[in-house]
Amino acid sequence: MADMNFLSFLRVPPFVLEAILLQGKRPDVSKIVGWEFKGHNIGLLPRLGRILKFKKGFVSFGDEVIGYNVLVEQNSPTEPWIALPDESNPKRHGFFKVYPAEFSPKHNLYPHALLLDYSKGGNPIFDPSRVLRDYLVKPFEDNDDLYLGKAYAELFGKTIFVGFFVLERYNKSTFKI
Amino acid sequence: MEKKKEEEKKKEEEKKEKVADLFASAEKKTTKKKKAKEKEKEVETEIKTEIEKREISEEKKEIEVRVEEEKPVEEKPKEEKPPLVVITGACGFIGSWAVQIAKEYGFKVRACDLPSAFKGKDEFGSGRARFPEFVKKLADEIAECDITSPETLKDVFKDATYILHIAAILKYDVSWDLLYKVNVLGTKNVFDEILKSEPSELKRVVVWSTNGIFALPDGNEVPITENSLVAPPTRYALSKFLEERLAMMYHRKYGIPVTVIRPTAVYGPRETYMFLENLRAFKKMKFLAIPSNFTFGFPSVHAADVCRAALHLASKPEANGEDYIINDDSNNTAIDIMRFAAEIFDKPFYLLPPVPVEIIRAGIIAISFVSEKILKKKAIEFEFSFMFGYDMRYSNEKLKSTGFEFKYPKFQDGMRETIKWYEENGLI
Repeated sequence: MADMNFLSFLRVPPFVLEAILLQGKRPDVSKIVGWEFKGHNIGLLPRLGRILKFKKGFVSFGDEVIGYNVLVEQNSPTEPWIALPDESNPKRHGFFKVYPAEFSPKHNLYPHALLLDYSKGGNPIFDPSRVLRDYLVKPFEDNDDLYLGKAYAELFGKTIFVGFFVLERYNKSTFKI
Repeated sequence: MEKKKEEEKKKEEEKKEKVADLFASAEKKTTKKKKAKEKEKEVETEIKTEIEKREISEEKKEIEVRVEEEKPVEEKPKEEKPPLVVITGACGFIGSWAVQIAKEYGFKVRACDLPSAFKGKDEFGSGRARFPEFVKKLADEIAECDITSPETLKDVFKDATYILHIAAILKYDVSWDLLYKVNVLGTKNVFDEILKSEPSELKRVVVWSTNGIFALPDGNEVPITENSLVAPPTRYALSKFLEERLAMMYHRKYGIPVTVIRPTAVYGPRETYMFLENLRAFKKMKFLAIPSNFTFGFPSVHAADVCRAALHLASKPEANGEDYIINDDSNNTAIDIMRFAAEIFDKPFYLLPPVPVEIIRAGIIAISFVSEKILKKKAIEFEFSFMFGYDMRYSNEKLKSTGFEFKYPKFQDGMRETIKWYEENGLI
């Protein structure tokens, strides 16, 4: 049977992505910790910013789950995700804390999602990534490898929609805090 | 002496006569015998022929019986007690066709729909299609139920041999909550109830999906097959894709026999959603015209063929756990359809200079957005407008490989009949 895969998400319009996000389930953190996921932004803003491909990693830090982003080569989505400046020395940036959105008093637009809160990731004070808040869901109950996210920016007290992104399990994380 | 001679002569003559008589009688006997023998032979031959005839007819009968056995369910079942087909969404356009075809094949039919759907008279022509009278006349049993309320589904699937799950919301401008509630959660309720009632005779659940679950094709992605990239371009298509996924989950986890069908644009008598509206618009025009580059595919399939295919696949063991695109052989382009409409309504037909499809699509999206989201008036459904101009050509090879033959392989033939029905019912 044909099924939706990573590339499928790049081909559906935003109102369909929104519906997928609404019916998705909260990811089980134990299934994502220790892994890096290949990611692709969807939407006009990321396209204008020319940052479409990236990697996201998840690691545990004490009782908490912390995540990070990895810069990758901006080649086609059918080509491999190659870390920059090189695979053996990937540039990790944009750290975030992971917790259920329903625990956030302010950022709980999708209470059934996980919140990736960049303001609590220990990023430098002037790092622009600090404004980001991502919601993450698992679209299909029987697939622990595929995730859909929706990114917002918290600017001047307002929450601004940035775009959707899709994640797929790629490789084990070697990052240690 | 003379007397003696005369007497001797007489005696000789008498002898001769006797001999002659003997010969004659012998001859008669022989002829009789011959005739008798001939008759015997004739009778023998007759008997032989009769026996041969009987043998042949017996053989014929045997062959017929064998053929009958090999025939798919669509050819009329042999059992004394006809298998029960349970049809959800029976009062709608497709549902009513499913009832009609299942009855034509000699099945017992339990028609299921909302209590409100069974009330009143048949309704069509105002964007709403409901055929309670038609269905009640044909169906053996009526089951009033609501797939979104599990408690109303009790016993609905009891004793079912085949279940045709058609009930759904087919709309592009309704809320996601409603689509999800009916098409996804409703299907979950249906399968939960099937699990509960455990119909021992159950051979197949046929789940109605849509061709729309596939990605809108780029130039090199046609014809779309069952293995094409899934990327629903509308929320309706997404809900049907999730419905498919759910059905297949029950198939894998609990062994429920499931076949998913994905009909393309379904037409036929009683269809008043898409084709009728377009035909009405065409009829009003003074002439019909279309840009000469509008060669994108326009898929179609007759409702009768969709339901025939569903019952055909339900009888095929190899179709268990499989998905099938249900599309006819027409391979029409938008130009073909427009030309056909011009011919039907006797209008002049013109090919216009090429216009980029993307521009027209953007225009249609803009108009539909303004009318639906701002003016709150219905013109073209906003989400539906995104699909305009894509080359929607679909392969039906997988379906045909199961031995299925279309009753209406050509759209033009089926549509002529449909137009006749529209005219007879004063819809056009």
